[in-house]
Formats: sequence, C-alpha cells, structure tokens
Amino acid sequence: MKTAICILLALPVVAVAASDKSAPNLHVAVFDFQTDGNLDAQLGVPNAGKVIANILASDLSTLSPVTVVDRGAVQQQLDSRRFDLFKSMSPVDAKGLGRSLDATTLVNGRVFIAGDGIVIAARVVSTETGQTLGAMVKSDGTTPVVDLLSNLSMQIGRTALVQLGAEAPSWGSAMIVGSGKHGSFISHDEVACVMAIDGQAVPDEVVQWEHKRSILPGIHQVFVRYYDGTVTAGYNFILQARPGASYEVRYERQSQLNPILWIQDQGTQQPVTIKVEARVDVPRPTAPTASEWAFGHLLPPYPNPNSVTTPLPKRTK
Amino acid sequence: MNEPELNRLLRESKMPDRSEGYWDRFPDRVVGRLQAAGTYEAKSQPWRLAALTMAAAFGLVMGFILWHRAPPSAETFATLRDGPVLRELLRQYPGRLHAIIQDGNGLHTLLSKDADVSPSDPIWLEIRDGEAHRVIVTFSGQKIRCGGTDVIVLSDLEGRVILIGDGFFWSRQISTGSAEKVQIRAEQIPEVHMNSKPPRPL
Repeated sequence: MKTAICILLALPVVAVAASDKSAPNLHVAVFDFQTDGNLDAQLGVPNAGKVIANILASDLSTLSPVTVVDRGAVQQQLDSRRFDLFKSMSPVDAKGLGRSLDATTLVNGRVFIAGDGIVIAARVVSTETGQTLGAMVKSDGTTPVVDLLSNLSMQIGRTALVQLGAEAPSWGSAMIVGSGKHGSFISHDEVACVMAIDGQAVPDEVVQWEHKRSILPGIHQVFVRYYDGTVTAGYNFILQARPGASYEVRYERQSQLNPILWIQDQGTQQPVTIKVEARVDVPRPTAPTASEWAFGHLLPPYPNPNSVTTPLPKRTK
Repeated sequence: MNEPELNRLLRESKMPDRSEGYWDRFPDRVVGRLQAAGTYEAKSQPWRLAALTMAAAFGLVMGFILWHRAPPSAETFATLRDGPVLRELLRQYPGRLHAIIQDGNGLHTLLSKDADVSPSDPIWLEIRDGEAHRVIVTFSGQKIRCGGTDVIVLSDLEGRVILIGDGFFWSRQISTGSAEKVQIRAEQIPEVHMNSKPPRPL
C-alpha cells in the first residue's frame, strides 16, 4: 500500500507533464482537500485530502483542453486565509490568487464520511469573475474511489469551461484489452490480460483476454497477468487513461526468462507505462486485494485469488 | 419573547386596514349578531355583555399580535423564490448583496460594504431548525449559518444545490453530520442570470 501511496503522491509531476500545451487558456489549480472527522484514520492513509487532490489533478490533466497548475506550486503559494473553503471569495481575491498561480480556475473541497461510503464535494471558483459553483460525487458502496474522482474531475472540467464561457464538453471512457497468441497442438495459448482494475477482479480474465474493458478517464490501478498455461506472472500498473483512448496489455518473453509486461496506447503504438520484468510466480499471481489499495476498504470485497479456479485457455490444433 | 422584543414588534406592526368607525361599531356588531342568534339577553344579564365584549377584545388583540408574529407566509416565500425582490435588490445594491433572509422577524438583507460579492447563481433555501423557520435567498459560493455552523452554499451546472461545512454536508439525496438535524429545501432560482455569458464554442 505504501508503494501505491507514494505513486499517488508523485502524480502531480505526471499530471503536469501530460497536459496538453496547445489547449485554450484554461489552467486549473487544485488545492488540498479537507477531510471530515477522522477520515485519515478510517482510510488508513495519512493526508487523504492531499492524495485525493493529487488524483483529481491528475485526472483533470487528461481532459483536454484542461491543463493543471503544478500542485507543488499551488500549495507553496497557498495563503489559507485567501482560499479558505468556508469563506466566501470576492472577485478581487479570486483574481489576485489566480494571477499569482497563473490559474483561471481554483478548486478546493472536502471529503465526508456518509454511511458506508464517502461524499466528495468541490468548490470551483473562476479567477476571472469570482463566480463560484460546486460539484460533488458520492459512493454507492460499490464504485471505486478512483471512479468517483474521475467523475468529479469531469464535472469540474465542464464547470471550469462553462465559467469561461465555453460550451460544456463531454469526455468518453477509455478501453483496455489484453493480447496473446494461440498455442499449437503441443503448447498452450500465451496471453497477457487485465486481471483486476482498481482492486475489482475481472472474471475469467484469461479466457476473455480479447474482451475490451471500459475505464473512465484518469488514474487507475490495472493489475496485469501473464499466462502461458504453465507459467504465470503479474504486475500492478498505474495507468493514466485518456478519454476515448484504447490501450492494450503487451508482453515479451524469451524462453525460460521472466516475461516483460507493459501497457501500450493502440493509437500511437507507444508504451504508456514502464516496461516491467515480472517475476514468474506460483500458478496464479496474487493481485492486490481491495483492502490493500489506498482506499481499499471503501471498495467492494475482492475475492480470494486462491479460491478462484482459472480456466485454461482453449487449445487450438 | 421579552419586553423589548414585544415593544419593537408592536412598534413595527401595522393596524389592519379597517375604517375608523369599524372598531367603534365592533362591540355592537358582536352583540347584534348574538341577538340575532337568540342567545343574548342584555337586560336580564348585563354581565354577559361585558364578558363577551372583553373576550372579543382579547381575541382581537391576540389575533393582531399573532398575525404580525406569524411565520412568513407561503406567498412571501414564493415572492422571494420567483425573483422580483432579488432583482430589485440586485439593481439597488450591485455586487453588495450577500443574502436576503425572511424569518419570524421579517425581511432582512445582508449587504457588503464594498461591491465584493461574486456574481454567481442565486439560490433559494428554506431551513427549519427546531422552532426556527427561515427562507434565505443567496448566491452560490456565499456563506450562511445553518445548523449551528458556517456552511458554504454551492450550486452545480445542473442547478443542484449542496451545502458544505465543518462536519456538515447536505444535498437533496444525502446529508451527513449536523445537517441531519436540520430540514432543508433548496432550489436554484432560474430566472435571474444577470452575469451569465452566452456560451461560445471551443
């Protein structure tokens, strides 16, 4: 889990790097979110409000034409008295803070525990006029938190654009699919497939490796599995999915060596993750359970991998 | 209600719109109506006339006080929700109006000294907090007092309203924290879009 948190804390760098520089002048500054009560303790994540702001900023950066102001700069320049969530913001203050951050839009918010789930509410302030609008998402007990944040980022993106006088755009989901090759009479199929997304298991992942899975724009944790009938390996990737993009799990393996795994953009044919040499594991790799993820306890229970029988790929003659 | 509040209430109250002779003739009309009903025997029982007159006068005074102390009527709420009051106040105090509040003490406005109120969507709120009943017209992004805490009122692009505060969250679908102790109705006021810009394509 610590690894996942470290990756999420490092996301602002990725977010800025992934921004579309040719986009209209729309720069969103995302401030740390506040958390209600002992949310940090309940999530088991220190600075949960910061982690949520990082994920949100990263998700926003995938939504062209939205660009994101560097989160480090945002927090460095933050004067909490000038952008207190519970204080009305005047147009003059909004303009001044926007000028100092080179931001057209300011975003902050708060996370609430509500029953078995959470509510994430955001305040969106135009630095041009001071116009203030809101956005919110709530978990229904089954939706992964990253999907909530993806939906929230799209609401914020639309709001920011409308505040600038543009029409509200819509951003579509991305797709991800496995890859493989059929075996011969004496050899098994060899596949690399999606085994779990954000801690939620993909059923029959090996058999259905050609089945496209939909993922919302933004940050996701994609657990990839390699399998050739006898040898298996897995790796947990952090994928920043762009709206409408198609991704493919790819692999390379030389005989008797560990497989190399990565995720590739089908449009550009370029890797969008690092290439990882995945250690050959026991018959089925151990995917991170939902409870091991940063917001795992809010996700639905993940089935015990050891209790699942994985059907082998069909042989072809 | 204490004495100064009562004095203030009586000073602020207005007489019902009746002619001067109405009140002079009122006891006689009461008596006449009772006589017509055959229940009054003035000559045989003069104390009854006095009692009835006192009862009528007491009822009149109480009705007068209660009429002016009564919570805001639905008509008053509707007037605030429909927007003419808001439009007029925005015209009079451009950039200065934080909120209009209608409660048991009448209609109030919260004004800023300077024109520093952000031009955001107007929102109509009805809040029942125990015995207190208030209607507030304010704007997205403004702070109000609700459930004993400061909350920010926000509306989204679809006109849905949320209230957020420290340990307080309210929306039409879900509420948590101290918001659960307060009854809230909220709507965006659709007709007043004085500061919105026409959409332009990207």
